[in-house]
Amino acid sequence: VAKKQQEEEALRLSAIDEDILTVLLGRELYGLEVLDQLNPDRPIPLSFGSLYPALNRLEKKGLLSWRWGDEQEESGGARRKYYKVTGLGSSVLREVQQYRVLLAQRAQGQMAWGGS
Amino acid sequence: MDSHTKRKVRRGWGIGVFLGFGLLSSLGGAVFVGNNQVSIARSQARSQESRDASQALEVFKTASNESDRFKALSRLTQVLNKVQSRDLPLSQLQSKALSRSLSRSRDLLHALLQDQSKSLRLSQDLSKLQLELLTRLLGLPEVVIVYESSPKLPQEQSKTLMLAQDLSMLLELSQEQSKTLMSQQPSRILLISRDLSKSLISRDLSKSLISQEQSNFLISQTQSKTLWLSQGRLEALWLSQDLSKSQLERLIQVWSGTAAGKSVHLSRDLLQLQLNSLRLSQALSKSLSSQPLMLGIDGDRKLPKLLKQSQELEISLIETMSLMLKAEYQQELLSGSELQQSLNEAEKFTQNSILLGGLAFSSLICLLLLLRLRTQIAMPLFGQLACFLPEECVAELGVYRQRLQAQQRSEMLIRLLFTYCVLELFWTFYFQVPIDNLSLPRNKRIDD
Repeated sequence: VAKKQQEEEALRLSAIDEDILTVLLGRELYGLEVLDQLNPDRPIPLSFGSLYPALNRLEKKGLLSWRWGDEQEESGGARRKYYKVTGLGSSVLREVQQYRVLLAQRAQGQMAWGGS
Repeated sequence: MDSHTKRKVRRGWGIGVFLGFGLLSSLGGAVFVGNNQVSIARSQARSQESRDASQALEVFKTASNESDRFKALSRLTQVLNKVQSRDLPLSQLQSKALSRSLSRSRDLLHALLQDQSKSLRLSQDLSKLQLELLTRLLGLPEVVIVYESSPKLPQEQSKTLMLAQDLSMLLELSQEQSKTLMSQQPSRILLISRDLSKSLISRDLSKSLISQEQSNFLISQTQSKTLWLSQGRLEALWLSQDLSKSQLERLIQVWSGTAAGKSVHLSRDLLQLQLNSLRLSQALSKSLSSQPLMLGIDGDRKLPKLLKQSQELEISLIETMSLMLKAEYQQELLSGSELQQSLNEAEKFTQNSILLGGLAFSSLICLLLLLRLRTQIAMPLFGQLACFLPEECVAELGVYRQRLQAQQRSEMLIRLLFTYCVLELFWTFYFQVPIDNLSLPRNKRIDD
C-alpha cells in the first residue's frame, strides 16, 4: 500500500518537473546545462531560482539522483552537481507520456467521429 | 569548505551588517542633531529680531518728527524682510497671510506718503501762483494811480484790498468753475463768464470814497482784468482740451463782444497774467487727469482726508506688526520666560553637542571595525557566497560568468546579470523555499 501511495505521489508531476525529467532522460547534466537544453524552446524561460527547488523536489521524490563534480577554480573551489534520472523517474515519466499520448489519441478519435 | 569557515564567514557578515547599520544610524543621527543645532541658533536669532522689532515699533509710536518715523519704519521693514525669509512661529497659512498683509500695508503707506508730498507740493505751487497773480494785480500801474491820486489813502487802501479780495475770490471762482467746465458743454462757458462779470459789477464800489470817475475806471479795469483772466482760463481750458485755434478765437471774439468793456487793451501785465493763468490751468488740468485728488481748492479740502487715510494705514501696519510680535511673544511665553528659554536653549545646545560628538565617535569606531573585519575575512567573494548559497549554485554561477565573459559581453552587463542571479537565488533560498516548506511534511521539505 505504501509503495502504491509513493508511486501515486511520484506521478504528480508539474510541468517544470516533467520538462526537467525529459531533458535528463538518458543523460547526466548539471544545472546550467539543463537550463541550456530547456530554455531555447520553452515559452517561459526557466531561471536558477525555479530550477534548484524543482531539482531538489524531484530528488526528494526519488526521481533524480546526483553526484558531485570536480572543484571549479573560477568558482573558488565550489563543485557542480550532476543530475540523472532514476529508474523510478524514467518509469514515471514514461507513464505520464503514455497518458498524454492516450489523451491525444482520444481527442483525435472524438474529433474524427464528430467530423463524420 | 568546512563548516567552521562557513560559520566564521557568516558571523563576520552578520557583524558587518550590524556595524553598517550602526554607522548609518550614527550618521543619520548626526545629521538630525546638526539640523537641530541650526534651528536652535535660528530661534535665538528670531528672538533677537523680535526684540529689535518691538524697539523699532516703540520708536515709531513715540516719534515726534517725520525722519524718526521713517527710520523706525525702515527698521521695521528690515526686520520684516528678515522674518519673511524664515519660518514664522505661526502656522504656514497664517504666516503667509500675515506677510501678504504686511507687504500690502507697507506698499500702500509708501504710495500714500508719496501722494501726500506731491499734493503738498502742488498746493504750495498753487498758492504761490495765486499770490503772484494777486501781487501782479496789485502792482498794476492803473491800481497804483488809484492809490496815488486818492486824497484819502487809508480808505483807498482798504478799498483796494477789498478789490484784491474780490479778485482772489474771482480766481477761486474761476478755478472751481473751470473744473465744472471740464466736464460740461462748451456753451456754458459764455454764461459763466457773464456771471463773473455781473458779479463784479454788482459789487457796490460806487459808494466808496473814490470818485465816480475813478471808480468807473477801476470797474472797467477790473472788468478788463476779469475778462482777460477768464479769457486766459478759457484759453487754457480749450488748449488743455485740444480744441482748434479757430474755435477758440471765435469764442473769445463772441465773449469780448458781449462783455461790457469794448475798449479792452492788452497790457504787458495782463499778458503775464494770462500766461500765469494758462500755466495754472495747465497744472490744474494735468493734476485733474493724473491726480484727481490734487485739484487746487478741492485738493486742499481732500488733503486732510488723505492724511487721515495714511494715518489709518499706519495704524493698520502697526496692528499687523503687533500681531506678529504678539505671536512671537506667545510662543516665548509658552516655553517660559525669556531667561528660562535662553537657559533651556543653551542646555539643549550643549546636550546636542555631546550627542553629536558621541555619534561621530561611534561612527568612527564602526568604520574602523568594518575595515578590520574586511581584512580578517581574507576570502574572495565567490568563496564568501558559498557560505550563504548551496555549493552547486555558486559553482554554476561561476560557469555562467565565465561563459558571459567568453561571449565578450560588456563588464557592466555581466555584473548586472550576475547580481540579478545572486539576488534571485537569495530570494529563493531565504524566502520562497522556507514558505513552501511550511506546507510540506518534514521528510519532504526542500533543503540546501
